[in-house]
Order: sequence, then structure tokens, then C-alpha cells
Amino acid sequence: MNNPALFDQIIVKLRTTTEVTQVIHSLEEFSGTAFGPTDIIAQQQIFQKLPKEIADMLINSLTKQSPTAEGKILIKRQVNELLDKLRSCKSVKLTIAFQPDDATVSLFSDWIKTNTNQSALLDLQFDRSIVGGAQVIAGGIYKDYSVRKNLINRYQIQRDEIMELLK
Amino acid sequence: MKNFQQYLTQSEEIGFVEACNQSIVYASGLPNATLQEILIFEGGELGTVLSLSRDQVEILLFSKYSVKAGMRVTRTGLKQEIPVGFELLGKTIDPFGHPLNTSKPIEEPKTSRPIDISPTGINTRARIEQSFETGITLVDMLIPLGKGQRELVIGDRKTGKTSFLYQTILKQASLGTICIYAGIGKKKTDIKKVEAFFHAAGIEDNTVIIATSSEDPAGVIYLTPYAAMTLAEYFRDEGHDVLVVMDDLFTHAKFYREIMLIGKRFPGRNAYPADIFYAHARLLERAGNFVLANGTEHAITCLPVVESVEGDIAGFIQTNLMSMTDGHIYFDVDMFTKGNRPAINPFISVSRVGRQTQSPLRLSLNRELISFLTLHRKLESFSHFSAEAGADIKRTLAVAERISTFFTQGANEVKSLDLQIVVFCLLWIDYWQDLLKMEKDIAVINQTYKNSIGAQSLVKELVGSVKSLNELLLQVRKQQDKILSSFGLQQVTMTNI
Repeated sequence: MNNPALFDQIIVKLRTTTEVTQVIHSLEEFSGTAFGPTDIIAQQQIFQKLPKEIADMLINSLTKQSPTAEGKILIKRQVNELLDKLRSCKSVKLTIAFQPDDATVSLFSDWIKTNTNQSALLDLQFDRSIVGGAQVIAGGIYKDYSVRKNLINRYQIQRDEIMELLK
Repeated sequence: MKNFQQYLTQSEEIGFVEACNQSIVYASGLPNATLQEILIFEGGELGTVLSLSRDQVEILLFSKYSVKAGMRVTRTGLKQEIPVGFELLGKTIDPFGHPLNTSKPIEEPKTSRPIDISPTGINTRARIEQSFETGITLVDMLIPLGKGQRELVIGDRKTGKTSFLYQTILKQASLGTICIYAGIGKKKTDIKKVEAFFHAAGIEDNTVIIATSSEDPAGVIYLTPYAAMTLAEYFRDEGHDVLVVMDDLFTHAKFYREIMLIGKRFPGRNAYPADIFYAHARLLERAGNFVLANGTEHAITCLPVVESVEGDIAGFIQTNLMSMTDGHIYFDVDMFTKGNRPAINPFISVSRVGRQTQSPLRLSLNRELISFLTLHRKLESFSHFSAEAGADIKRTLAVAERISTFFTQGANEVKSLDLQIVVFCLLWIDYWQDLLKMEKDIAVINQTYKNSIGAQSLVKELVGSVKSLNELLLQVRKQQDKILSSFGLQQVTMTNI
């Protein structure tokens, strides 16, 4: 099996930083058991908490190796390699005013992966105070496309008119 | 200054604190941050960009309260600046121009200048030609200084360095020079003492204190002398001569070392960073005698102070500073314990450019004195062998004792050099035989001279009319009675001339 290519596939499947954190925790847990008494079922259980598609990919690539000492060393090396890749993934922080459903998260993630990098992750934040729109942080650049900011700008420009309307 | 959110909206760049070690913070993001740019954290803390790497920005904090990992930080687009203006005269401020003494509100100056700039080139500089009076006879006669000179003040703790600085500031402020005292990482009580001295001496209108206390963040302490120099440059450009006292650069070097060691810079000699020489040279090179755009010459004279430990002047920072200044005044702990005030050792002290500013009379006086003191030093060492001294040797030793008394000067006491030259002539022609009488007479002369316009004009006329010490001695002999009478002394018949 070509693991580097498989790892890239795993990363492409991951949508958000939360999912990546879950994978990292699972991998660290798996890594801790790698040199203990081999219990493949218990090891596979570790990945069951993850989304099914990713869990299957990890189980296939990491728990189906020969349980010899050399095999364990190889697995450990692969886990570390995958952990490094996951930790180095860039993320785009998106703050929105509503709690998105799973389809919306996929939509955002797909857009980001298509328009930036296939390994880019979505760091989704929920903040009702921005009213609508979104705040985006990527690579140290901050863009505020929120309704709140537009309202503030509008208020600064047309303060007198707005105050007149509110009377 | 705006708040974090306003700067974030303006710059549209954000960073996140990744790691924090005392006054050094590492943050990711901020792709367009520039060196020395001021950054603001979401808690309102300020910092400056110390270095940039591919993924991280190294930030030097200017705030006491340490920031936390994960905090947001953004660019302000501002450089380290200090507000400058005549409104600051008589005030005590920090390196960013904020008042330290809240009982004296400051009208915020309208202009600001960058704190850390490169020194100007040779085309803006002129030869140092005007003498700089310190009010201390020993220095003015033996180690003369010039306006625009950088003279290191070096000595152990408690040897009279601060008194010397006070006296010099007092003298220069009374001559109209703007004096800036930079207290670097001082105790708050010491800063108060300086303030009280300026107030008591009535020279507040010509002085500014830029101070940081030892409790301040290392980054702010580091900026203190640079801010003082920026302020000095402003006053110079406004057509004033300026004196900058930096008390002291040894402390500055220690704080710079602390910052750089925390910042994981490779330590050099005595653990100082490799660019410590550059940091100080870049600062002191901003002093000098300058030609302004309108053709006038104005000087920034700088007196950096450095502390020595147990008389060791060969330390790393001490020798660095000696090599980048135009001389040094050494306060000798042995002389101090022997009771000499000021405890300046004229044989170890050096003035590289001061002599070129001297009038022919002062120059000839300086040569005569130096050669006499050198001779006395040799004779003194022979006298240790209990050799029987001849009449000439005895006379030399006696005159040397009188000269030592003549140079003795109390703390906060400043003297007119012209008067001291005439008094020295009286001493040189053996007017005084008795040391006690000499001390009393000198006290009377100083008192009379302050209040007598006649004495002042006579001294001015005498000193201005001659070009060498011999000529002046001749004049003093001729007009002795007149001089003594104008000084309020009883006239005596000279028998020993």
C-alpha cells in the first residue's frame, strides 16, 4: 500500500480543524498501544469514533500490517508521519452568525479546498454578535464581511440620518 | 491611540500568540509586519517587532503584563515614536512621552519623531570648536571638553559621578543649554532625587528627564537612551545646544543582554549579544556638532555614564564605550577615600577633542598644570623612599598640596572658569602660603565674585587680554592689589615673589 498517497486522501477528506483534532487524538491513542500486546480489535475500536470513511482508511492502512517488531516500528513511523502532516495543515478561520448543519460545513469546506489548497481546513466559529455575513482569517489576513461591521460603517457615515429615523 | 479592534479593521492583518517567554512573544500570522513596527494585543498590551522569520514574528513586549498563548495581535502601522516639543521642558517622561509625574500635566506635543534612527552622515557634521564648561575646575582646566563631544563618565559606585553630572547640568542649564537626563532602569527614588535637584536649582525650564525604573519592562528600559537622543535631536534642529546625560549604559547593556538571551540570541563575551557594540555606537554616534540646513552649528554633547566594578575599567562594556567616545573622566575610588572631591583622576582621564576648543591661554595653562602635576607625581613616588628632599622638591610638594586644595569643590557647587584661572595665578605666584588661609580666601573670592560686577569685569578683562599663562601671571603680579581689592581680600605686601 502506498501510505503517503493514502494519507493525502485522508487529509482531503477532513473538513474542519475539529475533525483533525479528533483524528490526532485517535492516532496518539493508537500510537500508545502500538507496542503493547497486540489486540487488533481493540486497536480498531480506537478509530470507530471517527467518521466512517476516515476510520476505514486508517484501519486498513495501520492495523492490517504484520504484528512483528519490524511491522510495529513501520506503523509507528507512519503514524508519526501522518501526525506531522495533520499538524502542518493550514486552516481558514470562518466566523459566522449561525450554527451550520453538516451539509453547510461540507459546502464551506469544499469551497475552501477548491479555491485554496486541498489540505486546507475549515476552522468554524459561531458568533451571534456579528449578526450575519462572515469574518475570515487566513494566513494572517483578516477580512470582516460581517453585517455588524457594515452596520457600524453605515452608522458612522449616516449617523444623523439614522438617529433621525430612530426618533 | 486607537484600540485593538480599530487597528485590526484598519490593517486587516491578525496574528495569534504561539509562545511567550517573559518579555519575548512569538506570534503566527501578520504577513506584512515590518521590523520595529508597534503591534497591539487584544488586551491592549503593546510590543514591537524584534525579528521576523518565515512563520513567526518575534515581539518585544512593552507592557508589564505578560500576554497569553492564543491571544490575538495586530499591526498598528506605527513605528516606535516619542512626541517632541518644548512642552516637555521641566517634565519627567517615559520613552514614549507619557508623564511619570502625574502632578505635572503635559500638553501633548503635536509632533513625534522615531526613537531609533540611523545617525546622520559626515556631511552634516562640523569640527568641534566651542568649549563646554562643566563648572568643575579640575575638569575645565585639566580635561577640557568641547560642545558636541562624547565623554564617558566612568567610576565605581558612590565615587561622585552623579554629583559631577548634577554640577555639569547646573552649569550648562545656566548657560542656556537644554539638558536631557536619561535615567536607565533607575530606582524610582533616584529619579525623584534628580527631579528635586532640578527643581531646587531652578533649572527645570531647561531640563527634561526621560526615565525608566527597574520595575519597567526590559523593552522600555532598552529604548530610554534612544528616546533621549531623539528628543535632543529635536531641540538641536530647533536651534539649541543640547546636553544628554545617559545614566547609565552599563545597566542598559545588562537589560539588552537580558532581552537577547530570552530571545535565544547566541551569547558572546560575558553573555552580551554580538551586536552590543553596534547598539551603543549607533546611539552615541547621534551626538556631535552639527551644521543645520540654515548653516548654523548646534551641538549634542553626550555624557554617557558607565559603572566600573572595584576600579576595573578594563571590563567589556567599559572598554567598548571608551573606544566609541571622545575620552573619559575616571572617578577614582582611592582618591575618593583619601578625601579628594571631585575624585577625578586626571592621569587616567582623557579628553580627545576638548583641547582643540581651548583658547591659547587655557591651552598654555593646561600644559603648565599637566606638566607640573606629572612632575609632582614622580616626586611623590620618590618621597615614599624617605629620601631627604631639597628646597625645590619641598616647594613643589607644597604647591601641589595647594593645587589639590584649589581643585577641591563641593557637591552642587559650580565655578566660573575665568575666575578660577585668575585664582590659580594667585596660587601660582605664591600669594598663599597657608592652606587654611587659602581655603578661606577662595570662599570669600567665590562669594564676592557672584555679586560684584566690578570683579567679574576685571576677571573678564584680564583673561581676555592675554594669550598665555606667562602673560597673565605678569598682569596678575602688576595688578595684584587691584585684583585683591576687587575680590574683597585684605591687601598684603608680596615678599615671596
